[in-house]
Amino acid sequence: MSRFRTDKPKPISAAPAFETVLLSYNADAVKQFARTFAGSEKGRTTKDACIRAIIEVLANPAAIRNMVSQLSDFERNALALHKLRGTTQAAKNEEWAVECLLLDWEKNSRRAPGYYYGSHRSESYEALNQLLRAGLVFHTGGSYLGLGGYYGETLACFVDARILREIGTVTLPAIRLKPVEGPSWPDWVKRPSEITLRMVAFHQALQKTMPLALTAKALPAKPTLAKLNKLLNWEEAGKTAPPGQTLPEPLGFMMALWKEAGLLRFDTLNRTIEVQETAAGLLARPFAEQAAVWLRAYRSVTGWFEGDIRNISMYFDSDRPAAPTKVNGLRAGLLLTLATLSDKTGWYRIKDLSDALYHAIGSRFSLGYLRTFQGHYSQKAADIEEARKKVETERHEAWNHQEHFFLAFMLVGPLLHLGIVELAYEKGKNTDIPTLFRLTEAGRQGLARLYGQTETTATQTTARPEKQPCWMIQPNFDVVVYLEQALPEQLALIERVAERRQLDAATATYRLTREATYLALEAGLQLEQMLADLQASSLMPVPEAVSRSIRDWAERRERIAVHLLTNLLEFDSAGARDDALTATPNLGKAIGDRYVLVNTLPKGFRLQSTIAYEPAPPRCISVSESGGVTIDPELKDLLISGELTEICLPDAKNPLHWRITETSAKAARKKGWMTADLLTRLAGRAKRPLPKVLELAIRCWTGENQAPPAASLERAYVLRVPFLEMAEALDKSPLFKPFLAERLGPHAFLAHSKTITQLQARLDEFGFSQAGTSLTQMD
Amino acid sequence: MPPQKNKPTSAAPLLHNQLTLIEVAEPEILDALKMDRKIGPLLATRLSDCVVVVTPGNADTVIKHLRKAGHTPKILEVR
Repeated sequence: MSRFRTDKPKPISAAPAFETVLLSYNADAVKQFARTFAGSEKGRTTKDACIRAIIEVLANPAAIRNMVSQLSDFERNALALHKLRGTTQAAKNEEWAVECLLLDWEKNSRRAPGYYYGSHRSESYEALNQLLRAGLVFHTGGSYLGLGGYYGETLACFVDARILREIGTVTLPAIRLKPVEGPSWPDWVKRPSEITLRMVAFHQALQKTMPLALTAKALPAKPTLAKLNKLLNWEEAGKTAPPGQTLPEPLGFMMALWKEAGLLRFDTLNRTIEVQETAAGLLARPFAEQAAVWLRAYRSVTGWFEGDIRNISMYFDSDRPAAPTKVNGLRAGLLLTLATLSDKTGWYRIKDLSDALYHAIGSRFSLGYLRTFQGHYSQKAADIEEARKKVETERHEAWNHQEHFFLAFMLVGPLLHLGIVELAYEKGKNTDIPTLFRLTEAGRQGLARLYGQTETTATQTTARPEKQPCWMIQPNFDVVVYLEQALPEQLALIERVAERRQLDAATATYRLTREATYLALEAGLQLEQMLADLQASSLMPVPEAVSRSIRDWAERRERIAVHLLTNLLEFDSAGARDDALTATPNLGKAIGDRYVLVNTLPKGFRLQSTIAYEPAPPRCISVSESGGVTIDPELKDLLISGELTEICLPDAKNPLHWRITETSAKAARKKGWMTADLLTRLAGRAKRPLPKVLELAIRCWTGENQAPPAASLERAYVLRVPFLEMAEALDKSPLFKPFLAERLGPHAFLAHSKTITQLQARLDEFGFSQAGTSLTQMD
Repeated sequence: MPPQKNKPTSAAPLLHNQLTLIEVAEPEILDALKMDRKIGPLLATRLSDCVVVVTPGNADTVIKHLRKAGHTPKILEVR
């Protein structure tokens, strides 16, 4: 792994000034830069002199304009493409490199003819590297001038803002692609209303799922994705869609798209995803304007791929699953090619597009390993030509197996689902997926905006449509939405207040439910506003029964309120509480006799003390070995008495004294308390660890299985005999031996208690009883 | 409520901080919640006929159980 690879994505920094990095380049490089900036000049031989010349140009706008006018078309267009992404941002190297390859870059190459080693990884950066060698682009990674090879694409490249200021619009390259005859109507198409609804639904789902969690690797956390999936139901809907018409991992795509569009902010510090407020504004804009945003974002989407990348030996850092890859480059190449189509409304073959891109960039770009040809000096010219052709054939075949499929997936997947292209089957050809495509109106305008073709867009900008009724609310609570007439804000409303049941090309069916109404109200919608909005967009009056039910559902919500982590004031008496409420009008709401649910606590409000209940209530009891429980009056909280009632007996004389006994422990167990919970409850509130003896006693009282077996005092009998001779005889007697457990001394035995009656009988029988033996019971 | 005579007498009130409460429209609702096998154990001291304290750390669980039981509780958070 290269030393330029880092574990975490580098933050995109603002463009530094060119002067600040000039010293880090070697003299040869700086001399080349000086030739670009100030032209060739005899006598300018030292690095310092060259730096001075460059600084002089940069300080003079007229000199910069003059320098820019001397640049080749390729250089100007390449810089214009970067300018379209913003003047202060680091370049998106993967994308820009491929766009540069599509420009006529070899015609005015500044590279001196000669032998150069080119690895399969550096080839795709060759056009961009020309700009680096000329000093028009610089990076902060040291003096090495080329991207690719061992030098990662992650190096942040910049163009000095003063130069970009003088750069005009881009002249798109001419990529020859012949339109073909196609049908009047597309076979596969996504209408703007359908796409807008999808976006609105996603926005609503994000807001319902807040907070959105992020993993340590800056990826959306699985529980968050699971919740979103459940709300959106895209995976399930995909199963019933015709094959090929669904996006792979639609949720992953949407998250990545919104992130790149700046609508989601991944906060890696707090590990959360924030939905930006601009999202609603963007969705309310005309679809053609949205298309440009989606196209720009799609080009830079990372961590999501159109196809299976597992078989491609694509180089990217595994620690950075969201790092840009060559797929971003291919997307950039595809979008730039689409923008150059000669007939904007014509049908084109996907294969023709793929071939055109191959001829433009195929010799230098591959998603995987690029086959390159190196002729050997000892080979004959004919052999070299044959070998070159063989390599080219192999390269084209590899392209058809890899890049072509990715391009097809890009068109059939994201570009279709973002409403940029529509697709059709070619007449007479039996294929699984359509092989023809054409740009939609939104696609044409979006691409024009993306590449700054303002004169085209100015005339085509559509005015924001008027808000009009767009749904029918039926007495069975179904709402049929006519998508063509619906504005994003209307779709957002219906997504909030109803559950989507069905989605067709022109209509969507929703159902007003108690749950959806509840969630909408919980999200902050007001009942009257909700009813008014439903009515305002309805083609017919809202049925009376429907409005009544919605009101009932809203009323039900008022029956139970949960005040989360609130503040409560406890007064000594009802009088004190009422006085405080009178003196401080906005203090809060009276509860019970002595409490106030605090609304706002005025600054300087005098408090006796504060008891916090989270993350755990205070430890306020002392527990003795004998089971006595004493509450500390200073720390006594609202819950402790209630908790002790469950497991202890109160002291009638002192409310601060409680006692845990066998009876109270058994009663608690009977109420359903598990022994472990009981002990945890006590231990959690005790200032010091529970006495071990009491803990064992509680375990025994509650009959916990794991408790040690209860100790028992067995009754013992001692047989005393008057003579030693008799004792010896009994000790050895098989008749008496089974009754005697142990000899305790010369004249005493421990007798088995269970057979004591038989022993007595035997002693009587043998007359030992009369002889003075005695059986004594010991405690 | 346990008597408060052992508490140091003072005119200033005691602030109970970060406490989750359930407030119902009618006492019968609270009685029913107390009887609920899952919700009941999570409810602690009853402050009035209609207000009860939720045992600390169980606010989310209570809301989940309330929703499962068919209630639509209004969730109010201190801003």
